[in-house]
Amino acid sequence: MRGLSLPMAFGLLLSLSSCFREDVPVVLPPPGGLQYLQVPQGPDYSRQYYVDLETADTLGMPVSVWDLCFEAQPDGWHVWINGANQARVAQTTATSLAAITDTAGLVWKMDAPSWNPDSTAIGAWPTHNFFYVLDRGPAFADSIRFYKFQLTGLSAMGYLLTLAALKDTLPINVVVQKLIDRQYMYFAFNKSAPFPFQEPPTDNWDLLFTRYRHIFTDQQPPLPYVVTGVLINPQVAVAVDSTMDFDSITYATVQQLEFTSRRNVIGYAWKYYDFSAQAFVVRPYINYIIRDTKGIYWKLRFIDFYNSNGQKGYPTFAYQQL
Amino acid sequence: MAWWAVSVEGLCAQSATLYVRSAQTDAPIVNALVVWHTDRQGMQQAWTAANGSIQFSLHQPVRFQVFHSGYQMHSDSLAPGQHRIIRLQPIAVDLGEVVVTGQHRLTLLAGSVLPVRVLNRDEIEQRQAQDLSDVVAYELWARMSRDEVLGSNASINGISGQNIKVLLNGLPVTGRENGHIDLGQITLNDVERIEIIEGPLSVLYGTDALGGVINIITQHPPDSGRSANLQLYTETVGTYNIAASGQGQFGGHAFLISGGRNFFSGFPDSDQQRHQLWKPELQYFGSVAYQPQLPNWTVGLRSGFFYEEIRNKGEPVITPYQAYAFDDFYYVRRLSQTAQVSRTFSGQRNWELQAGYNFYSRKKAAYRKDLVTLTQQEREGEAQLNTLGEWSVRSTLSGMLWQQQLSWQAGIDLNGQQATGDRLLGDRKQQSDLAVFGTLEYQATPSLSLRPGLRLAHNAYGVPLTPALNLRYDFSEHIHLRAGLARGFRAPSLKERYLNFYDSNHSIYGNPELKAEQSFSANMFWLFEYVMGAVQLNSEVAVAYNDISNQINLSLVNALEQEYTYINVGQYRTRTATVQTEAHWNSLRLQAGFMLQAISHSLNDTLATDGYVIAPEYRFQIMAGQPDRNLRVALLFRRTAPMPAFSTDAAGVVYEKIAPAYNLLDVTLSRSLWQQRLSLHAGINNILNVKDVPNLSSSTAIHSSQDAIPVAVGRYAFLGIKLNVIGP
Repeated sequence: MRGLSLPMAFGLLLSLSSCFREDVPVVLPPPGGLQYLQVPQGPDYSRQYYVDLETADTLGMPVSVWDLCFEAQPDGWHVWINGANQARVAQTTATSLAAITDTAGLVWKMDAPSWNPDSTAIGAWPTHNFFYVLDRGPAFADSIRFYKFQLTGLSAMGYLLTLAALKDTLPINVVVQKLIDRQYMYFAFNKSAPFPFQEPPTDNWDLLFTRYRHIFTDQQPPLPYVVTGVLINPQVAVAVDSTMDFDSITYATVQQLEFTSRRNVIGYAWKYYDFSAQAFVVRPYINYIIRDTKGIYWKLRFIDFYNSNGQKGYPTFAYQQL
Repeated sequence: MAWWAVSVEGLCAQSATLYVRSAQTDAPIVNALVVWHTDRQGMQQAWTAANGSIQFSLHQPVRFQVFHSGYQMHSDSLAPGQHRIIRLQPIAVDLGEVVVTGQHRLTLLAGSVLPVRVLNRDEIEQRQAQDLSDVVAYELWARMSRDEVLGSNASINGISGQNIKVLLNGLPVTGRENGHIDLGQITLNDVERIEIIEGPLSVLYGTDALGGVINIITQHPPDSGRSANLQLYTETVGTYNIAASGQGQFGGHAFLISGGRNFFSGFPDSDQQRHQLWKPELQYFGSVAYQPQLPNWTVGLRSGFFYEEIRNKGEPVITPYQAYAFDDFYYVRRLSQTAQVSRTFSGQRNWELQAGYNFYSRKKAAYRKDLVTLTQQEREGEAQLNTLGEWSVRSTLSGMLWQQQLSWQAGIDLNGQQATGDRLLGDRKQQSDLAVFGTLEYQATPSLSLRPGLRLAHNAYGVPLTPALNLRYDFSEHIHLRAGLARGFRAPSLKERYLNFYDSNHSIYGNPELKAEQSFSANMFWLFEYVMGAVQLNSEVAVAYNDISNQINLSLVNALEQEYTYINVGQYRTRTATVQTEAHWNSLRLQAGFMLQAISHSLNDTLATDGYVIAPEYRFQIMAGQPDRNLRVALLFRRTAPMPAFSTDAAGVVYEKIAPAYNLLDVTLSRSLWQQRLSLHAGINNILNVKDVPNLSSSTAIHSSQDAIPVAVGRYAFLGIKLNVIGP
């Protein structure tokens, strides 16, 4: 029977070693430490910065570099104008380029400050074939300030535009390509290249420190005014709270808050101008709870608007992963 | 049909023993059929035990014949008190194989009018097949497909598993998912051989027998002696199987008990990968067979169980605040109880009764598992429990007339199913089928046999008559023809008739008015046998045509509400031509086969293949051995053909896809030690390391992407050990 011991031992080994693999508990990471970031928009607020809270990466470029902003998703079709430049747009009744030679009689429109797709100045352009006229803003010389354009094509891959300067009659056809991993694609009229810049991929930014146009509807008539503030990535959600102590905020305490993806939910009001002190003062008691594109929660509050040299346009904030 | 037997003689008898061995290896031949005749009891039959022996109680000398697969039939005599050793000569053509499927009585394979193929225990062990899917994977007539959760499905000559009847000792195996039996749930621990008939056999076996019949014949308890064995098997991809069986004769009562455990750890298997493409699987199985020794009667009882657990673990979702995954567990239980009684009367009349009850249940449990606390919570609305109970009673009476020129068989077949399930209308449904059938086998001339058959049924799905006609013609001693024309049918399942499923996206309803799928088939098999010196050759050329109409397909009937139901709308046609050749030269055996399939499939008026799609397949096998060293090596190659099929995308749109061709190559080395008590099998399977093939959809823009279809886990090594613990 000595010879049998090997197969017997083999059988015993098979029986004992063959069990379902059990899960090993996952150990969740502890909350992150408090971090600080300063965004150098500059005293003239001329630059905008994309900020990724997870990596603290920033990407900056001039605020005024684009004129039209296009939805980048395959089924997207909405188009915005650059409020930071005080741009305006008017829909004409013309269906040919030559029929438009001046801005007389045009009704100018502006996007809603929230960037709500249903409230754009250009509106539902796929439903008609009329030309638009864009006023790029008062900072541009007259020769390059007004452009007429028609949105002539739309697909999952991109947009097709026909455009010309207001006085020109020679049409230029331009394709604005969509990129599925972005939220928006940008276009500038007087650039040789159709893309002035590309924003970071959707998962690589949470906040955009920029200038944008707010419309104070409590004024009569409503007052469009360019403000310096924060727009969020539309895939990010933010809750605003001013009742909790910043240090006591945890993952558990934010679950009952109401989150929104309205782009100007953080906006500009985390600071105000103190006329008596002749300086901007931040409101550190406003807590912003941010759920990023990866589902990570952050708490954030602003702590300053000035750099160490006393120059404005350097918003500084404290933030911490929950 | 009897599948085991007893022999009892009177009190004044003397014992005699016959030892059956291989003339080539001198190894004992287990389960060889021995047939003899006595004046008192007429023809008797029994099988050799684990040591190749069989004991007789004799009053007088008898003539006997010994049959076993792969050996020449041996005829001799035995006197009371005599103890003899006989050695069987191996042959190229399995003329000595005895088959039962579709036969009036135990019949030599060579004499069968029906085209029966046999996979015997030797081949099962040589391939180290753990379940039925392993056995048929390399057969030219079969094509395997595997779903990670629903298991293995075989098609025969291009006809899918839902149109193939799987029998266990002649009674239907129940429990189909998605229309087919999971062949991975048919374990082979106590299986003696597998008989396959290509083409319809509904005239005898009723529903589902359109494309073919796979009849699994289990081992019978021994007529004498006691033995036990242990089988171990492992693969480098995480398979660990253990099985054992014991059998013996205890004072006129013979038992066979077998059982085992199969485990697959899933693949790929690593600490980092929770979700596995090939799901972890655990199986327990066992059976008990009992055979009393009764004068003039053959009685057999068998009880079997099977349990399977498959774990489909989801990809973990890990955020800074939680970690979880969605897991699905599937539990399958099978119970089968069968009783078989037969008796031979004077005039070579034989009466047989088979009765069985099969129970099948499949439970799906769905959980959200917290990977931090390792607790799990049931997911509401995701759990499912389906059960199916099926009883069958089948009785036949057969006999011979006109100096054995005419053989006849008449039978009655009753079958009932009762299903329960969360998604069945009314939770519980049943259907039944009552049929009478008869076949004649008329030997018109010594060369020509004709076999007409007819089945008359009463059921709810409209198949009152099923005819068949087969013939066998021997052109010469070396050239034989088998041909057949037959109708077959598949009854709509209870699910197809009474499903009641809806969710937010769509709803699917059964159709109680469904009729059976019906088929017409024609086939011809030519067998050529040659002997050229030491080389023995046999070749088979076969052609077959199958036309399945009234095929049951899921169809969109209300686009606005996204309502689907089953309707008889499809048509499926196949034409196949097969050439297979086998050569024996001493201990070298070569097999080569080529099959050309042409398939035409239409789901409805608008969705169909573009005419016939041609699919060539081929297979090679080389087996060589050194009998004096009990060593054998086998090399097996198979190329599967591209196969057209229809699939449904996430939006419910049906589209055509083509599963591309792929190649399989295995090598196995076998050796016996310790006077055949220990058998070792080792080898490498899937040497070409095939894991998946691209899923080539039809040319529509929506489905032009190529998704891989997993077909195998890739290359792996295996080791199998079989040890006779008790016995010689």
